[in-house]
Amino acid sequence: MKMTPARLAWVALAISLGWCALAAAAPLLQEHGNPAGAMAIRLLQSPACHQMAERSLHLAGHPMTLCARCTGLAAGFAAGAGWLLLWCQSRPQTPPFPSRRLLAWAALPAAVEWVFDVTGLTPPAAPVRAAAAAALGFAISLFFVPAFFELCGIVNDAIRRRTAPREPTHAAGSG
Amino acid sequence: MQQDQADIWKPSLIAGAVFGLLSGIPLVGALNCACCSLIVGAGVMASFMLIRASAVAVSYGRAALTGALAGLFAVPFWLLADVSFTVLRGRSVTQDFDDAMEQTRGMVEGGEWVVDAMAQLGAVGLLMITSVIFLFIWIPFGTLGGVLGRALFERRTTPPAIQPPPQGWTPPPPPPPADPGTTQPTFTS
Repeated sequence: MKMTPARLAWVALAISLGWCALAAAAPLLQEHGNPAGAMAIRLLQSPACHQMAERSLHLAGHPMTLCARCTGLAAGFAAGAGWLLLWCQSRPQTPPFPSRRLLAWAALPAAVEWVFDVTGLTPPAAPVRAAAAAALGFAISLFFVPAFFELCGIVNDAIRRRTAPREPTHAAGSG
Repeated sequence: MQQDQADIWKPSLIAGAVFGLLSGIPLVGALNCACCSLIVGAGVMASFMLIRASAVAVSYGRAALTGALAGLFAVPFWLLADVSFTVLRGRSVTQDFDDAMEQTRGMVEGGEWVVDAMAQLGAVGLLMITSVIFLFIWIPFGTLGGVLGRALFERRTTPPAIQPPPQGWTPPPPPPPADPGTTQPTFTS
């Protein structure tokens, strides 16, 4: 199967949405009497996040398995992948890389929120943390998806060079 | 062009080793709880080293690949550091897992069979499962670090990628051979 930017955007969207869905599924499973499933998801996502209940969004009265920032990042990433998918379906070429200024602007809300959090001026609520991180996640995905498409091209070329039959070499003057 | 591009293995191995070992150090490794920040750092460092070593502008794809490899290499180094520190501190290899389980139990009531099933795996099984989970999580985060490093540190411009020609496109015919009667202007002193 040939990898296209649109297909890659689909994959990125599916993985990031799946990661968010897992985080949301655990509290719902816990609420509906499946604590084993909730525990398995919590353990699976524990290497990537501290999972502190007081810094997480809550669903059905239980904390999600990713903190608000991680949830926001993943949701923003999914939104960016969705946006790229729409872009790819309307144009035949690879999406261009955005300016690095976009990354700086997108990181600004998360940076401000982090400063407020660390200095303890007014610790932001979990939804505010998630929203600030979502902007950054959106911008990151606009870089990540085209970069990963280039990466696939590099790997594909390397595999093709290795598997292609080598042309016989003729020593100069022989014959 | 190909010769001017720096090798991706060395920066990814160095960055993976440094950040993998850091991830295995108690307390320092806890930084990974913030969106795998150490592993994103490994990708950024690998990308930075690649950009410094390359004579031409590094593409996002190569930076992403270097970051992905850094995430991959970080896992065995994390395993090495984690087991070493656990032994040095005189703890059981399963102790960290028991601590994580204890924390999870505080949040989820019930589901004891999951804990029992994991405990049946033993130290080696738990380390192997953890390593596989880390591989699946750290490679994408390392890739992300590589992309961020490219966005932050590469100031040179990459030549635009060659787009494939549209379907039905045929190359223009070659120019007709030059008339032997006409000669190109020459400059003589």
